[in-house]
Parts: sequence; structure tokens; C-alpha cells
Amino acid sequence: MKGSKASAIAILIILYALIFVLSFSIGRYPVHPVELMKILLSRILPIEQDWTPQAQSVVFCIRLPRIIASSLIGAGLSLSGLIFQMIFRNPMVSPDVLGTSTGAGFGASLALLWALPSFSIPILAFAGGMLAVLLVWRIASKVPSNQVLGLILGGIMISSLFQSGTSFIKLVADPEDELPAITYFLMGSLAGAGMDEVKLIIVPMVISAVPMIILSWRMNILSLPEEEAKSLGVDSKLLRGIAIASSSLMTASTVAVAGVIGWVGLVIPHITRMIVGPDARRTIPSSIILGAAFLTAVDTVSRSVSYSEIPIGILTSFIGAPFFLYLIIREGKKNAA
Amino acid sequence: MLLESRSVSFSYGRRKVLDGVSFAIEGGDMMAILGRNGSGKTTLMRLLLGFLQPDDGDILIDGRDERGMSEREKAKAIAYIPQSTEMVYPYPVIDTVLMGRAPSLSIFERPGKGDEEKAENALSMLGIEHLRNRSVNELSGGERQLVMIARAMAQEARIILLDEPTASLDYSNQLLVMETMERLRTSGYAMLFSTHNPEQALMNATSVLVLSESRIAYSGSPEGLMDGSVLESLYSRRLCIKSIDTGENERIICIPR
Repeated sequence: MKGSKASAIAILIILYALIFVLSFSIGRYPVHPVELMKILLSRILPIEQDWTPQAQSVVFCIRLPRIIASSLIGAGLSLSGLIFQMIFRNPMVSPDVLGTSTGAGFGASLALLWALPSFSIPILAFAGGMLAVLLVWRIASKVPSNQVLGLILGGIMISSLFQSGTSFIKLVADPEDELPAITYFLMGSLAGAGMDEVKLIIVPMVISAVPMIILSWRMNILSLPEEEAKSLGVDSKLLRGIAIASSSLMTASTVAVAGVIGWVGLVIPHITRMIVGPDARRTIPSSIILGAAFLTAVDTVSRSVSYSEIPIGILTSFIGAPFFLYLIIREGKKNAA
Repeated sequence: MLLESRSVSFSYGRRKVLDGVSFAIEGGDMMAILGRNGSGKTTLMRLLLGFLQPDDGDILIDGRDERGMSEREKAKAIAYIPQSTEMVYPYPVIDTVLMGRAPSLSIFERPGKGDEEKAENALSMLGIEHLRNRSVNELSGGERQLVMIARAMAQEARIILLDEPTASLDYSNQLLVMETMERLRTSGYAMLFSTHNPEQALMNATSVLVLSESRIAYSGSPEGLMDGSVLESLYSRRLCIKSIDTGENERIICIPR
């Protein structure tokens, strides 16, 4: 059993590697896998250049940063969704539950409304996302008897507040210039993802993912009822605090560079559990790999199916919403059985 | 004494739930807590586990004041089996039992070979190793309680608290769980369980604590309840309590008159 789950993780890695290579080969300037390997390896091995400078430029300046960005964002959204589902003991929650995405979206919209320099968009997105989490945290602390409920209800409230804030920004935004920029940003897209964006998010992603990987076994215990976890000597307040801070930082980072990409954080953790079971020692690495593979694949589709790029958030919704329906029906059948 | 409650009182706001509750248990004891709904049984459990702090009085674990103990230290001393464990995610039995090793591991540690062995041993001691890879959510109520008992054993705490361990179990599983608890008691654990079934208290416990209107109505051996007066006033019913010889052993029945 253990072996089959370990080999499932190996298959996921191979799947990701395939998508990684394919993603270079698909698009307006396709790069053949063999050529791609040569170009990539030429950085470390003395390989004679038999490819065009354009191909090299496509690989290093356009595709690679975008693939790395989509991998990081997919991994981050998926991991934060998995963590939220564990600590809130609810498989139907996603990174948006604490208002992180909407808070970050509000921050970014504000930067676009005020036409601030582009580096301020991620900064305000971070600030908005973290402000939303802090507010929700504050509300939940007023409900000490049932903090999880406090967090979820606080999340709904703060989310709706920031949503209204964003609607107000759209209302007062210049319809010629700012409004389309805000709308497009909120749809979620990786069109602008370059090496600068990768550099911007890689540090917060790693900082927030590493503690989750280290604490993965204990995260299992957090999915037990609060008092049971406590009776096993687990400092659930501290662990939950670390988990919420890490997941929120991950979500805010993704919004900062790619806007609001929904559904990944809900769908991928489910598929991960279906493949490797519920143990967080396996689900955490698997959801990182699967999230990266999924978003890279979807992003490849989003930039290659039509002449003008489709915002990735639209595609993830097309996939996520029916999957959610499937989950509801499956749960309903399970409960009826 | 392994676990001692000294004049413990507790109120939710102005409503006094427990008033001056004292008792002590040692390894090899099995104490039953009887009381009607809302008599403070669950509150007492939560106080003993350190989830609540007493307004007055002290709780001592192995002679140490519980207030000075960390969560981990408490968990090394007391294992808790809740009334029902609903697992949101379908963990296999072995992983669930392995969670009992948490108090023995630091926050950054993961269970190793030794911990896995302890979990496997707990399963085989209860004769449920065949359930090893099944999901806890697929098990019957009785099997699930045995898994929880296995987790408590893997925890290596010497005191086990069980909140209504046989509630919602069928008769055969009720007997199975009580027999398993008896085996743990005779192997040296201090057991404390709450129940709504006076027969379990009379038949399986070595001592009984009866809570009524936030106070102790009775504390002592099960034999002291045989005349029926305490239980009759507790349940406001006339009862017939009899010890009968089944031919193999002595059993106690408690039925309404």
C-alpha cells in the first residue's frame, strides 16, 4: 500500500516533467523537445549551438519564466487550499475562505486605480491579503468557543466587504483605461509573468511552503476535532497560526503576480487525496507537484487555443465549477449510502 | 495517586456546574461517573484534561498540579477517548493509531520505526491488526472505539479517560468495549469513564462517582450502590438492583420496578 502511494508520487513527478516539456513545445513559437533539452543543457554543458537565437530567446525570456511562474502559482494555490481544508476540517473550503484573495484583489485594484508604479501592485496586493486575514483573525478571537466557525464566518464577511470595496473602485475607475486594467487583472492571467515576477514570489512561496512540509505529520492531527488534537498534546493554536499565516502568504503572493485564479485550491487537493490518501506527509508534496502540473497545463492551453490569450482564471473556473458539482453529488451519494 | 481532584469547583458564568468535587484514582482502578444529563460529567472530563481550569480546587496528575504542566506533558499522562470521533478525512487505522505518538515527539519530529512498532503492537494487543489498512470511517462503532483505545495505548499514558465509551454501540459492541477496558485496567491503567448505564458502573467499575446537581451524591465502591437508594434518587425512579449468578459468574442487573 505504502509502495503504491510512493509510486503514485513518482508518476505525478513524471506527469509534471512531461507537461513542463510539452508546454515549451506548444504555442506560437513551438520549441521541439530535443532542441529544448539542448538549449537548457547548454547553460551547464558545452553544447554546440545549432538553434536560432530566437529559439533561445523564446525559451529563456518568454516560456521559462512563465512556466516557472505557473508552476509556483499552481503549487502555492493548491498547497494553501489543502492546508485550509485540513485546518478547517472541511474539504469544501479553499484559499479564498479567509478573504485573502479578495483582500489581495482589492489591494491590487487600488494600485491600478491610483495608477501607481507597477512594482506597487504586488505590494498592495500583499498588504490587502494580509489585512483581510488579520481582520478575520481578530473577528475569530471574539468567538473563542468555536474559533473555526468564527474564522469561516469572519472570512465570508471580510471577503464580501473587500468585494464591495473592489466594486466601488471599479465604479469610480476611468472606464477607458483603469477599469479594463482592473477587470483584466482580477480575471487572473499569467500573460505578464516574467523573471521579475518569479523573483518576487519565489521567496514568500518557499518561506511558507517549507514549514508546512516540515510540520506535515502534525497537520494530520489538526484535522481532528480541536479537543482531540489538544488531548494528543498538540499546540493547535500555534500550529493553526503558522498554517494560516503560510497559506495566506502563498495566496497573496499568487494574486500579486497573476490576479485571482479560482478553483485550483479547491480541486487539486481533492484529486491529490484521491490519489495518495489523506496523510499530509504525502498530500503536501503531491499537491505541490499536481498543482504545478495542472496550472502549467491550463496556462499552456490559455495562451495557445486562440489568437488572443484567454485569462487563466476563466479556464480554471470552467474546469473547477463542474468538478465542484461532481464533488457535491459524490458527497450526497456517500451520505445517502 | 495517578489522578486526583481536590475540591474542584467550576461555573459557566453564574451557573455552578461542579461544586467541591474530590476523588482519586490509582493504576488498576476503573472509576465510573454516573449522573443525569447536564450533571457536569463532561465538564469534569474537560477539567481533568486541562481544557478548562477550575475556579477553585486543584487537579493533580501523578502528584503534580496540572496548571504547571504543558499540553505535551498532560498528553503523556492522560489519553482521552471522545464519545465519537468523526474523521473528516478517511485516515487508515494504522495512521490514526500512530497519531497517539504525537506527545512523545517534538513539533518538528515525525514518527519513526519505533513509533510505528508501538502502534502495530497496540493493534495486535487488541486483536485488531486485520483492520490496519481500513479507513476509520468504514469501521463499525465498536471497531472504531477499539481503534481509539489502541491510539490511547500507543500514547503510553497511564490514565485513560473515556467519555460515554459505549454510547450508540450495539449490545455486542458494548460488551466488547467494556471487556477491553477491563483488560486495560487489570494491566495497570487507571481508567475513568462516564456512562448513562448504571449496570456498567455496578458491574465493571472498581469505584463509582455519582454527580447530582453539581455535587457528589456518592463516591465509593459499586457495592455501596446495591441498596438502590442513591440511584433511585438520582434517576427519580424506583429500581430493582440484583446480583445474579449466571452459572459462570456473578452479574448485576438494574431494572425499573
